[in-house]
Amino acid sequence: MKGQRHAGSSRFTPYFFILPAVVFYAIFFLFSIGFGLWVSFREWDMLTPLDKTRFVGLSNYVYLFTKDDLFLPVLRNTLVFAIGSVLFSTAIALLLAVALQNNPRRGLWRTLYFLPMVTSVVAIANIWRYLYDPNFGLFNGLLSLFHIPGLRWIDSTALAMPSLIAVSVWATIGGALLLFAAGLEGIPTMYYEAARLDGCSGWNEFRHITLPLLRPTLLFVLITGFINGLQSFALTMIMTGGGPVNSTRVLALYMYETAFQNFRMGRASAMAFVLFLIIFLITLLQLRIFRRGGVEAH
Amino acid sequence: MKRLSRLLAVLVVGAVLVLLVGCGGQKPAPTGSTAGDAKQVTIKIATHWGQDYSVEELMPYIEEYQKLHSNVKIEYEAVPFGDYLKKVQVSHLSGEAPDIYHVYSLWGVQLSRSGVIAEAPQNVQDFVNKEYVPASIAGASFDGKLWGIPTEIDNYQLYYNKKLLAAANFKEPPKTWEELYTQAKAMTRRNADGTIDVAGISFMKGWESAYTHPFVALLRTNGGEFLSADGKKAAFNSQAGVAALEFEAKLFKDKLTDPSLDYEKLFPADKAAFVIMAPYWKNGLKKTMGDNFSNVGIAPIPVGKSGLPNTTGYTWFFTVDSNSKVKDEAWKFLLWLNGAKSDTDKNSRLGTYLTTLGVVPGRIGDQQNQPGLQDSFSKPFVDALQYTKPEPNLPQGQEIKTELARQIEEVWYGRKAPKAALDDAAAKVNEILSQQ
Amino acid sequence: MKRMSRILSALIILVGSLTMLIPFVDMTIGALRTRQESISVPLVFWPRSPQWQNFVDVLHSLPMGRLYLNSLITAGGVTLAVLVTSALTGFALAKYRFVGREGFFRFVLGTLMFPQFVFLIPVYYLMKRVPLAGGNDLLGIGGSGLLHSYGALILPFMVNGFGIFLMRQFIMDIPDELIEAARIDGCSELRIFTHIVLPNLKPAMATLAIFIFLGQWNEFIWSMIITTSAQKLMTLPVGIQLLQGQLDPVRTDLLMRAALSYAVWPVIGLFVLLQKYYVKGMVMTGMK
Repeated sequence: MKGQRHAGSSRFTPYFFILPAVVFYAIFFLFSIGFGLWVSFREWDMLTPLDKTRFVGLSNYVYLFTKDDLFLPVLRNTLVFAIGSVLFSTAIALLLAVALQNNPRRGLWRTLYFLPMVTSVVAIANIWRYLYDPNFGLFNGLLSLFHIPGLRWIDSTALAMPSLIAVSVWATIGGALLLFAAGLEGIPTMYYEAARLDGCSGWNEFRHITLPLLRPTLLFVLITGFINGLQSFALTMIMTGGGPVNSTRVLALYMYETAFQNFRMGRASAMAFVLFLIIFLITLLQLRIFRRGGVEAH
Repeated sequence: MKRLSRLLAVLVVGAVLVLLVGCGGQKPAPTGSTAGDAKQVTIKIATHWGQDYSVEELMPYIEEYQKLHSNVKIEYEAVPFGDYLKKVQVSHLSGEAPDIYHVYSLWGVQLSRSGVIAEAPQNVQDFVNKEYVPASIAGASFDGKLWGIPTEIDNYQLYYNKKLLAAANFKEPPKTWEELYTQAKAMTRRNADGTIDVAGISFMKGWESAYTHPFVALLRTNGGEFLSADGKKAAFNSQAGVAALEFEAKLFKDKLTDPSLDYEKLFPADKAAFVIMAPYWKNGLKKTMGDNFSNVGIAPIPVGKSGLPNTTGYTWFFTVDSNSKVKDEAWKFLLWLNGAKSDTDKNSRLGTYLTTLGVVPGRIGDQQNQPGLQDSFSKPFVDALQYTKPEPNLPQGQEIKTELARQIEEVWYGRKAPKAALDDAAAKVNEILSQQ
Repeated sequence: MKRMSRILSALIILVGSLTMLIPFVDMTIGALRTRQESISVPLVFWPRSPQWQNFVDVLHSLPMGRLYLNSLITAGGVTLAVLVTSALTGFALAKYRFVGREGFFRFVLGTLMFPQFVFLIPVYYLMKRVPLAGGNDLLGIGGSGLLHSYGALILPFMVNGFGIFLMRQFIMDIPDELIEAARIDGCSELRIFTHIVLPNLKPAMATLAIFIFLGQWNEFIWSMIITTSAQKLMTLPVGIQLLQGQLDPVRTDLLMRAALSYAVWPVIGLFVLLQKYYVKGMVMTGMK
């Protein structure tokens, strides 16, 4: 009966409803992607008029994978950062959600954990930069109380990336927690009761009842987490600037520097499309893994 | 039909809203409408001198010029330093580029290559060639042409803490690398847990020049050079260069300093004895240190094997957009701002402003006559100009320096040997240069 | 056994809340220190006498009121626009069958995967070339388009893939019977949208509104680009990061902490007040 014509409607009704979005995407999105793709096949310093730029075909892309010594390490940093922050954030949020399940004041705790998510990344990056300061920061100050020598949180090549991941986890845990908490509430208690009758409890209960039923939520959290994590830019720029010695340089930051500091917009655009490909492939990968033997979420 | 007309209504309302929202925009200022005898012109100038740079000292000159020339209106925009380059790039896309830029020389090179700026007119060239030190002229030149009027020239010297030196019984700042090492070592104090309390020496870090400039200063006193004579290949990985980086590495390895130290906070607090830095820190230090500022000493860069004083520097210059509709008026204003105030007063207005900022103007008249440059802080910088050669004006200059900077950083963190680091940097730099 | 898990639970919660709050507390307490205290080793956490002056001084360095206003207008404008477009689009995707529906939906989800960087320069061009805006003629040439107006900050965000997704999910839950009944009664599709669908979407709209508002309030990258050509449009995150470039690092840190406090606490306060709606909405999202 849907879409059947009657007074006040036509076969074209749905198209009218999606018209604003379609126009928007046509103008902003398709033009931008087309433009970006076109620029990625050229050399452009953003100052020379576009019609005078040189066409270089795929050489920007080829350069990234053959001559650019920094590109692959940067890719690795990006993946490490995204995987680290998404996995830790998801795992901790899941455990917290379970731990808080029957807590009478869980609303309060959820709000607390959510606070970083209402704070801008500029604020978060600066706040944590102060905490991590090797000489005057709170963390090393606390360590010195116990006569432990201060750590070079973001000033050592070994610790900088984990320290960044820690901030990212801190900032995103609240969102995942809320979603998991909701998902848990959606599991009918009779499943747990039945399981208890069968002698199942604790960890087994978690593995065989909770996790599978949380699958759609988990998938959503992971996918959105990766999409955001792989694009992380401001956090790194403000906290470490990519250092020390490139150890925290992620792709979004490298892209930005290549364009605005090195005057190589063409190469930067190529990087952007490579990043898109990575995000796309990782998303597909997650969907495939989760569809195996599970109920499709949407 | 009713539904269609309602949809149309919504679209019209939406469009009107967009237009209202868009009405914050302004039409570009009219240029060329006659007013009396002379044409009415508006000159837009953008620099990074804002509130933080006492720009209120510069404004009186801008007002003075507008009074003298009633047909000229000057619109001044202060752009935060970190955003200036982005502003140039982005404003070009929007067609709202300013008429006058104040650019760091390496940015200027990119602007010249893309046609954004053009060679300075002959009268400007004559003015600059006559009134500026060779280092400044070199700084505003590229491809054998002069591109604008030089402003500040920032060369590097050794900042030292007089109190710390005296407490360690050193009568004079170090003159050679060996002396620098000895003094720095004597003044380094460590905490019980091994971290540095007072650093013998603290190095700049963070952006590419911070790493490369002090290194090149040391390199030059050791008889080395950044580029080969023809400017086509890297020369910093010569023996002289490797020795210079090995010297830096030793300072880190022997724990006289540490990559995590923040020189900006330590030196004013008497927690670092030496810093290799440029003169623009003068006002910042005065504000931070107050009376303690008299404790700051300036000495030439300690020399390496060459035995000759040397250093490096960088420059800024004023220039005019090649598509500006008010080019002639813009250059006229710049000549007035940067030229002698009068026949009797050899100082320039801009030179006076730069001196209040604590930086060194490249103009000879100002160097000789500005009272603010005669004190014990600024005078050494001015004197060092005699042997200062600025960093080479290279295309992709920042990219090149970034390659070198990263390798220097690796050495500081003990992750790479100096020779390997410099060779790798040189290979990368040569590759970039060969593409130009 | 149960007590152990309860103790464990309590421990997790305690550690968790400290971890969440301490960074914010450090941010503000640090703003009250003197210069000396800021760079003293060992760390002086509690200032001996709070330097409230820093909170006054930062107002001279940053036009806080203006920044708040710009952020408010931008975030508000975007939120309104997204609510409208998401509901309209979500409705069509949820309750109609038409050619290209699934394809369009997948396309919308796909747009979320492109790095924001790709859009910076082209959208900047587009904002400059809006016809009849900012002195432009019909072809969009001659003036500055929307670049000097709030339009440049709002327009590029008016349609949001996540919002469309969310609305589609919620609208799918509205019983078809309700809609069919209205159809039989002779309601036009538009009327069905405004009188049946929208009233049932209130909680979802509230959630989306808060989500979009916060996201836009904290938006940084695009605002930074627009600010280079129109400083009067500077938003809060851009303004705060601007403080970084100043020459006196110790004072900068103090001012920065004060500025951050101004930016962060009111939003947290607002959120705590509104959290009932937000949490409920997120909960409902989680269940889908």
